[in-house]
Order: sequence, then structure tokens, then C-alpha cells
Amino acid sequence: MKTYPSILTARWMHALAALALLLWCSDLRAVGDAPDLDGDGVPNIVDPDVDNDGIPNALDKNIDGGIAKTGPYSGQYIGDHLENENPAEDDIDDDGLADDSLAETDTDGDGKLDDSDLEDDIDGDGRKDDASAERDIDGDGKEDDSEMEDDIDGDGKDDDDATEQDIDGDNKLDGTDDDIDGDGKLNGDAAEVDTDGDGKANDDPEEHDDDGDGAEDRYDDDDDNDGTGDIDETNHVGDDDEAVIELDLTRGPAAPNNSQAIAKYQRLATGTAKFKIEVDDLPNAIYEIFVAGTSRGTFQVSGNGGHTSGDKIYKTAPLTGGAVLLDFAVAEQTIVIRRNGDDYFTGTMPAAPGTTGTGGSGTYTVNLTSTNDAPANAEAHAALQFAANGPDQLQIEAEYLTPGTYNVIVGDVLRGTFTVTVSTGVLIFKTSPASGELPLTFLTASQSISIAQGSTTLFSGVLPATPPAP
Amino acid sequence: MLPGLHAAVNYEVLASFEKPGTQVVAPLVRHSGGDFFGVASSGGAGGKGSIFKITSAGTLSTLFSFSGLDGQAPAAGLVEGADGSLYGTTSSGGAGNFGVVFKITTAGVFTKLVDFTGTAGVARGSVPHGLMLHTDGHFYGVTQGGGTGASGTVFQMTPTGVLTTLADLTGSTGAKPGSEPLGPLAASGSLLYGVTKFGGTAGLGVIFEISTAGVWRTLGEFTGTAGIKPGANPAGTMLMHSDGVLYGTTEFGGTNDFGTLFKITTAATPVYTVLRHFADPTGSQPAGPLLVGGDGQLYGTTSSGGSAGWGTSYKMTTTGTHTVLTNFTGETGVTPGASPRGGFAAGVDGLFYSVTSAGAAGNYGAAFKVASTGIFTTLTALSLPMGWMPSGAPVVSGSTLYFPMAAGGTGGGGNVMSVDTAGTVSVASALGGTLGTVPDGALKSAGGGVFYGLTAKGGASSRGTSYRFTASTGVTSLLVAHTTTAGSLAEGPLVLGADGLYYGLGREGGASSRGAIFKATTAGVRTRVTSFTGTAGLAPGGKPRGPLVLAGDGHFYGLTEEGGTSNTGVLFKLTAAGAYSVMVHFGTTGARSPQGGLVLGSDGALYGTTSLGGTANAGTLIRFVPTTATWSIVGEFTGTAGAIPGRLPGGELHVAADGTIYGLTQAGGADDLGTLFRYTTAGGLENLVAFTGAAGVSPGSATANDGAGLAFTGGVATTVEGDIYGVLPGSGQTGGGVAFRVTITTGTAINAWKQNYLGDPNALDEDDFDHDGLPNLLEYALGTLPAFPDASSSPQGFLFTYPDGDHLTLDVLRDPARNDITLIVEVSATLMPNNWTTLATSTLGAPFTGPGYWDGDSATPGARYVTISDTVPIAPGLRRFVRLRVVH
Repeated sequence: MKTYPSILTARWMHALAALALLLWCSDLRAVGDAPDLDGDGVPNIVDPDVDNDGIPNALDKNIDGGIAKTGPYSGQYIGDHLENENPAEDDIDDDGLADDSLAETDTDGDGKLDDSDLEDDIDGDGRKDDASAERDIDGDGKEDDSEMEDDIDGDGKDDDDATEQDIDGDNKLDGTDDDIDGDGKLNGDAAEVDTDGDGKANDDPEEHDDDGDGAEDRYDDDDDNDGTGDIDETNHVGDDDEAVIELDLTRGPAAPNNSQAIAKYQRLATGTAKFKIEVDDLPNAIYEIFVAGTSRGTFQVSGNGGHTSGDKIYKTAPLTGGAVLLDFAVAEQTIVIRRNGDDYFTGTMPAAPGTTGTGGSGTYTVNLTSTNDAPANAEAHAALQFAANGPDQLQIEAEYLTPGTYNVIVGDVLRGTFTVTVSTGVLIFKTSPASGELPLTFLTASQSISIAQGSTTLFSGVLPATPPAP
Repeated sequence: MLPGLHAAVNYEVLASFEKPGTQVVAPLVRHSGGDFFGVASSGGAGGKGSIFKITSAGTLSTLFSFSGLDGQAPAAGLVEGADGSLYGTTSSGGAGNFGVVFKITTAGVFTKLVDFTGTAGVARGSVPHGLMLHTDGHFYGVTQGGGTGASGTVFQMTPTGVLTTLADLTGSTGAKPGSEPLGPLAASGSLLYGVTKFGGTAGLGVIFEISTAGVWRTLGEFTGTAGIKPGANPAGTMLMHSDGVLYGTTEFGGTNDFGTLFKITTAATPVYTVLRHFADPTGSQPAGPLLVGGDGQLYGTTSSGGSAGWGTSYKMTTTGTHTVLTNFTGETGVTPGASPRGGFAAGVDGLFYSVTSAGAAGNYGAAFKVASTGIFTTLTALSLPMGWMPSGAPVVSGSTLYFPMAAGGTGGGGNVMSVDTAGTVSVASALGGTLGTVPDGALKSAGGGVFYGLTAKGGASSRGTSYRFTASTGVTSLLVAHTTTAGSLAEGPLVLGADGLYYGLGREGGASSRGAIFKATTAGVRTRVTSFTGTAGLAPGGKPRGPLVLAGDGHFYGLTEEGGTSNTGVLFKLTAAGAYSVMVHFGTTGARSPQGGLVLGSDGALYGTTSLGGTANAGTLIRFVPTTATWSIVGEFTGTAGAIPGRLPGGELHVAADGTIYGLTQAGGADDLGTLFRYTTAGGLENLVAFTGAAGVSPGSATANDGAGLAFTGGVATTVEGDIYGVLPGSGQTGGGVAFRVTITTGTAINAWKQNYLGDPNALDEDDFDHDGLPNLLEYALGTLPAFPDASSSPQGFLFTYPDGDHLTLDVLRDPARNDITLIVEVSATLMPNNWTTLATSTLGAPFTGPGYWDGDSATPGARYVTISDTVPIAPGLRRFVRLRVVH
């Protein structure tokens, strides 16, 4: 009887060899099965001791590699030979989710979610996340300060994302975190040259958000989030369209020899601006500030122990922290600090760098886009008028609408309504509103704007951030 | 062989890609022949580690790849034996998966010497570590586990592998405290010295002495961050210095809990002294053995710390003066590398040689050498220039095909590869860094030799990129770096929309972190079109699988693997205006969980696969008609066997010029390594090839992964000639996948017969594989086996008595199905050429006719023996010769 040729025989032997290999590959898993390194029936993703070496994941320096103490692989080495912190280890807990995957919420598989208040060592390498020795908080092999690391704490939110409020995952919100990127250098330290740890130094022309708070520096009045406003920082370097000017005021005969006064002006790309007068070592009293010959209010100098100080802050909308509305020009204007007719300090503010004396002005009109719910021939415009210190008027006009009441929403907040009686409606916001006008007290730069009737949006657009080019 | 068809499928490997050994955690050894040898605990052709050679000039080559039974995951350095062979251990693998001792010649001849047996037996122990060759001619070593105490052993072994256990360690207490001893041991005469990683009272490891006769003495137990012997969990072995003192390191413990370098005397009361408490800024967590340099200083490596945090190399005097030689800088920088864990090997040139376990291109590690002055030289990165793990179907461009390679390359981020119709595969362009890493999915041709592709990772935000490749220049440039906002972990190919923009899918990211559809301009502006929202919401779906398809109605359609009402995926539609709707919610049973995208068939319908569903729940091929928004299953896979072997179909489908749809299953087939299938509306679903792994008739496997949850599937494309070119990401001879070509010969019955029995449909008629004197053509005609000697089965002439006497007669087998040959029975009186007379002929399977035909034939189907006789009776003195001649 003839036998079949060896081809079929070879096929069977190959199948047997493949089966034998399956028996030996302790980490070989069928496609689609949940990984279970130690074969204890508990998938790695929920296994408190992934490699069954008797060391809980939270204490294990190599979570997915070790000598199994019990189970089907007792006495055998299973998993890899990479410590948790090894940059080549890209799945620390061997749960099938890469450490830099958005789906990985517990990098070291210790049961504490990466963004939990209880988790202080995200990658399980024994270095606390806020320790200076921890150079790779999420253990994804990308150094926190590297420009390739865009998610320092591995929580799936880009460090530059406005929704990421804790860049280093140390459970201290960035706004109150004195070390935003968790590199051991405080935000305000001279040695901290990359506040948000994104690999771009604060003075890098490509770094537009020093503290990674989502607000570009050109819009941020505390670029490095160290609690000290940019206007008060020494050697602050603003972004291209962020104007900063300072003036040491000249001491008059009435002022003591050791007294000092400084005038600072900062205008952000948003057009919002801050003007600050600070004095040291003047006699305790109330002093009046004149800008371009016009009184702009008074401030108190007080102190004891041989030192006095006082300041006054002016700011464009939105007003915060007790600031007074800045509704006057500052650049190239005379500044006088006076009391009882005596000029204690004087000076003339220089022009803002790279700008005209008026600091950029004009009106920027945005044609709003109609939706399908708007009447076919209806139109709407938003005109934002810029003064020296920023926007001072926002005017919304709509035409060929049906009679009714319409809402104006800026930055997702209802700011006002206008009524159409025939076919046209207008709404005006001003920093110094007249009768029938509303105060311009909200941020406009790059904000969304829409006109809606009820829940139906009729027009939408985005307001500009900067004045029109001269 | 295709059932029921006279067609032959020929599978040809064009290139096998080498998967290098990686995760080197052991020191190199310098062989007396001058080269360095090391071990990698992972990677290699079998994915179970390898042995490699590095010349002093930096040429890297693989000597051997472990396959499991012969060992797996070597984690300790090799040692040269007296015979010039290299001896080593693997931490697992072997007959019991407890690890092995092996030897290998520098030419690569491998011999397994010992299979460890766990807690009992002559070769008890598990997880063997480094060996030491003693002057007594024996090897001494340790196992980190097993033994009677399940805490490891110390053993003696002859060069031929005869093993004697000297000590069974006892863990936290007992006569021989300690667990997980490290090798190699240090020797001073007949006394051997070692450390354990764990065990002792505090569980932080011990220092021990053992004689070659097995007499044990505990020299000390580590006490952590304080105490009388600060230190914990050593990761390097002891060194016996010429000053007679033992030196060693611990990876942890010490004042800073970042490790120590200590010395201990071997006196009756050992004196322990910490020379250094490692601190992170100057290198922390020493790992690997110490080496004494020519200057008497101690040379070693730290796996962490340093100025960049990626580890250091250092030297230290025996009095504790520490000098950093190297601050490793990770994947790039002046001293690329990270996490060196193996310590040094001394070169004859006075330099110190080692390999890092990570860092350098692709984070695979690099071999380097450093001088005592700190001058650093990279010898070679472990990222092989050719790369490995093809990750997308080839795209045809003229006579060249291009496909992505996910791993390796000079940039460590994968490559764009090319293959010509001659079958030559080469690197077209390397990826990495800001260009992106891990290209995934086929390239998209934009015409003019310009292609667009996607990477899943890397780029400025490490979320992948879109890139442009220009074939004429071989230059790859960045189109746009991805962020999670518009979708990350992209899977290609891109699809060109009617608006001139390229549309793609990101499996992650988007507003809901469930993936997104994005579009990109050729100027590099990428915007999100839709974010998937999971099981509900505005855009149900999650984890979209590439590619999208632009249907004839002008809308995009696609598949998601997850999301939808049952969280098993959806088939969705995206209008040209950007409106999203779900066409199909896959259910909890039936076809579901697609792991690939859609393709536009020649009939205008859309075709895709689901990884699950069908009678065998092995996956299906589905068809969706956009005009009616209806769908159906047009084919079902049957797993490892059955009518249509294959399971978990996925990846990209391909439509050939004739409308045939080709694709891959990720598993299934006899070896469960995937299959190549085709579908036609006339023929239905058919299996063409079942992949066979590392060897066999169809090497390769249809899927491979990066070890961190990212899996790749190969793909195929067809040329105008009808040949199928494809790539597979896994297996093949060298473990890194293959590029292949399949030709399907719809030939005659003899072609199919040759394919079936000889594996080659075009084997020559005149070849005689089994050397039985019957060439293939005759074997075919006679119904014998071409691969089995069976000449005795050929027809024999005999005398048959007819009324007029005896006639020379042949019984000839005729199979009507073999209708591509002509059988001619001839007679001659002289055997001379041109002296043969035809007795009977069967032409192309037809019944015999002719004067010599006697009996047995008809036009009915089925093989039968037909009697053909000479027309002249035998007579004294008359010679007659009869032959069968076969014409093809």
C-alpha cells in the first residue's frame, strides 16, 4: 500500500511543533484574550500582583517580570526583565494598554488611578511624582522635560490642554502648584527655565504658554503661574505682541532721598492691559496720580519699621483684584505723583515697544456665519473697537431678522439681548457705556460669539484677539 | 490547494525581516578571539531572546535565537569555556520552563546542557543566572529559584553538563539564608562569594561564602537605608579585588535609597564598609557587576540617575572617589542610551564595553565603549536599519510597491520600504523622532510618486503624525504632528475626499477619547471632523479602524471596533458635509467587532470584515449597499480548519482590477497564524494560503504586536499582471515578518497535481524528484506518486493469448480527468527511433482508439485500466517491444 508523500507528514509535525511552542510561551495569548501573565485567572488589568512574585504591584520594582511563587508557573520566571522605570518598558503592568495610551488610567497597576489623590507614584518606580529624582512621572520613557513629552502625568490630557489642570499629576492644581511640571524646580526659581515641562524653555520663541495652563502667554498676565504677575516680574519677557514698558520715575525735591517710584505697563495680545504705580519709602500719606495732567485717583502709602510702600493698579476689563478701570492712554504720557501741590515723582512713559504711541487701535469687523435656521438673506456683524488699552466697544448688528428678541452670547455666556421690531437689531457694549448701552466687562479676545433665539443659534463666529494692522 | 479548482497557489518569500534581540540586561563578554558576545532577553527570531556578537568595530550580528524548548530570556552574561565555546543560561524555557544551561560555539552551534527541574531532582533549581569558570575546571553557578527551599541554589557543573547542587538556599532564615542569588560568583581559591537579591532577615539580600565543597557561611545581611550594612536588593555580583577584599553594589538602600557600593572583608568577622551612597544626580541604582580596570579602579554602571536621568557609567577608587564617565542621554544626544544594567567588559584596547538596555534609536539600546577618561563612542544601535514588522499593505506605483515597516530602522521609528517586481526589498526612507514613529496602515498615493502616510506614535506631541514621502527623492517630510484633539493613534491609509483633503482615523483621542475622524490639507492643516462618543451620544462608535472609504454616493463610510449600542462597533456614514450617522450597530452576537476598514467593491457595494461572528464565530466578510443602507454576511471563516480556514479577519482589504477582493485573517489556518483569502461574487470566499510561522511552505504570521497593546496586520496588493504582493508583520525565518508574492496559476490538471504533490505547479515534466526512474510526466500519467519511489507500479508488459496466438499486451491506466496529456501505446521490432508504430492513442483524456485497443475503455468518468495489445502475435525469432509514450 502506498503511503502519502512527506508533505502531509511535515504539516502534522509542524502543527505539533507549534503546539509545543504554545505551551512554552507563558506570555503568548490568543488574539483578543485579556492578558494574564501569571495564569491565575485574574487578568493583569485587575491583578494586584501581575507576576505573582509575592510583591504587590504597588511595591514591585518590576511589576510584569519576576519569579512566580504560586500558580501554574510557580518557580518559573515569567514576564520581562525590565524594571518599571526602564524607558523600554512601555507597558509597566502588562495589561495590554501602553503606558502612553489614553486608555491607560492606572499605569503601574496598583489599583490607584493615575489621577487619584491617593496615587503619588504613577509609574511605580519608587520615586514619588513630586520628587526631584523623578524625571519621568508617567514612566512612558519620555523625560518630563523632553519636548516629546506632551502628557507628563500620562492622564491622557495634553499638558497644553486647557482642561489639564494638574500637569504633573501631583494632585495640586497647577494654579496653586509651586512646581507645575514636577521637576523639583519651583516655578519662580531662576533654575526653572521650562515651567510647564514641555521641553520648550520659557524664553523659547516657540513657547507660547510658559505655564501650560492653556492660556497663551500673550493672553496670560502670569506667564509662569508663580503667583507673581508678569508686570511684577523682573526681566519678564513677553510674547511678540505683549507690550511691557517700565519707567523709574524721577524723584522730586519733596521726596526723601531713599524713596523710589516705578510705573509699569503691560498690554497682552488680547488687548487687555494693566498699569501699575508702585512707591517705596515715601512718608505715610495719601498721594494722587496724574496721567497726562488728569487725576487718575489716589492711593495710600503706609508702613512701619523704616519702610513704607504703596501701589495702585489699573486694568482693562475684566476687572479683578481691586484694580481700577484702565480707560486712558498710558504710553508716552506724563506721570506725576503729587500731594499737597508737591510733585514727589514725575516721568514720561515711553512708547510700547514695536507699537505706535497709541498702542494699536481701530475697529475689527467680523461677519458672523448664519446657520440654516437664520432667514435666507439675514446678516449679522460684530465690530470690536480697539483703543490704546484694548477693546473699548463691541457692537453687534443684525439685519433682515424677523421681529423678536435675540440673545447675544460671548464665550458661552449670555451677555445681553436686543430686540428686532422691523428687521434690524443692534446691541452695543462699551467700557464707558452710555444710556442704552451695556458695560464691556468681559473678555472678548478670541471668544466665540453667537446670536440665538431661545435654543436656536442663528449666527456664530469668533471675535478677534488683536487690533487690525495699522 | 484550492478545492475543486484546477488552480495552483505558489507562495514565495521575497524577504524575511530580522527581529533583533533587545532588552539586554547582562554584560558582554570578550571572547579570546577578539569579538564580544552578549545576550538579549527578548526579541530575536522567536521572540524569546537571542545571542549576538559585536565586533570591536561595532558590527552586530545574531548568532542564535532561542525558541523556548532550547531556552528563553537569557538574563546573565556568557562565559568562555576552556574549549573556546561560550557557556550561558536562560532564565526560563527548556523542558520544564525552569531555564537551561547551554553552550554555543562562536560559529553558532548550540547545545543544551542542563534542563533545570524546579524544587526537586538532580538538576533542581530554576531561573539560572551567571556562570563562572573556576580554575578547577568546573563551572559554578546559581539558580534564583527552585531548590528544596524554593529560594534558589548554588551548583557545580562539569563542562559536559553534569550538575551537582552545592546549596539549597533557605530564604529569610535558616542555614543558608537568602533568595534569588546572582551570578557569576567571585572566587578566591576554593571559596566562592555571592549575593542574593532578597532573603535574609530583612528580606533585602545577603552576602555569602560557599566553598566548592558546599560549606556555607553568611557574611552579612543588608539592612536597607540605615543599620550596620546599608544597602538592599543587589543587582550586581561580587568582585574579588586583588587587594583581597570583596566589592559589590546594591541597587537600593543606602542613605538615599538609591543604592550603595560597598566592600566587605572575608575575615572571620567580616568588616563591611559603604564606599558610596549613590545619589540620583550623579547616578543611582547601580546594576551589573563591577570590573577592575587596569588602573585598579572599579568600573560600573547605574541604571538610573545622572544629569539626564537615564543612567550613568562610572569609575571609583577603592577608597570611594567616584567619577561619572557617562551621563546617558536617552534616545538621542551625544551619549545615546539608557538604563545600562550589565556593567562592563574589558577590551584589549583598555576601553570598557557594554550595552544599554534602552535608549538610542527606537529605545532598543546600544552598544558602546568608554575610556577611563570618559571619552564615549557608540558602537552600534540595536535598531536594525532594515527594520521589522511590516504594518500595512503594499501600494503599487509603477513597477515598485511601497509599504510601511513599524519598528527599527536607522531612526528607530520604522521605515517606508520598497519592493520591485523582481522581488528586491529595500529601505526607501527612515522614520523617527519628529517625523513620527510606528507607521501604521498603507500609504496613500497622491500621484506623481508622492505618498501620504500615518504614524501611530512619535512626532512633536508623541501622538503620531501625517507624513509625505516622495519616491523620486526618497525623502520623507512631516505633514503635520498629531495631537489627541483631532485624533491620535492613527491607522492608515488616508482617503482622498472630493474636497481635495485627506481623511483619516485616529483610534484614540477626540473630545471623548474614543477616537476621531480628521481631515488634513496637503499644507499640513489638520482638523477634527467628528469625535466618536462610545455607546451613545452624537457619534456612537469608538476605536475606528482604517481605512475610511469614499463610496459612489460621495459620502464616507467606515467601521469602528467598539462603541455603538452593544459596544461591538458600528458601520457609520460621514456625509461630504460632515454629518455623521450610524448605518449599522453590531450586536452582541453575530457579525461584530470589526478590526479593519471598508473597501469599495467593483459592484459599488462596500466590503469589510468583522473579527467575530459567523457559525464558527471566527469572523465574517460583510457587504454593505449604500444606496439601500442594507448589509449582509457574504462569507464566514471557519477557524483553524474547515471549509474556509481563518479567524479574526482584519486589516485592509484590497480590490484587484478584476474585482476580486483579497484580505488577511489574523489567525486561523492550520497553524493558527493567519490566512490569505479572496472573495468573488461568483466563487464566494476562498482560502488561498495558510501561514506557517517561522518555516514551512508559507512562512510568516498575519499579525504581530509591539508588546504594549498595539497590534499590526499585514496586507496585500495586486499588480496588473495579477500577482499578489503582500507583507506579514510576524514570524518568517528571522522573526520580523516577511514580504511575499503569491502567484495563482489557473492551469491544467497536471499543474494542480504538481502543486499538490511537489509544491510547485511548474515543476518540470522531466524531473524525477524521488529518483525512481519515472519522471513527473509519467508519474502523472500512471497515477503514481512523484515524491515516493514506486517504479514497480509502472505498467508491466505481458503476453495475452488471443485466438491467433500470444500478443504482447499492456494494461494502461487512463484517467479521463487528466485531460491535458496524450497517451500513446506503440510497438517496435527494433527499438530504433522512428521505428515505432502506434497501437492505440488516448488524446487529451479521450478513450483509447487504434488497432491495438482491445478492452476496458469507455467515455464514462473515472480512471480505469485499458488493455492495449500488439496487433502482431509473438513468433519464434520475432522481437516485439511495446512502450507507452506520454505527450504533454
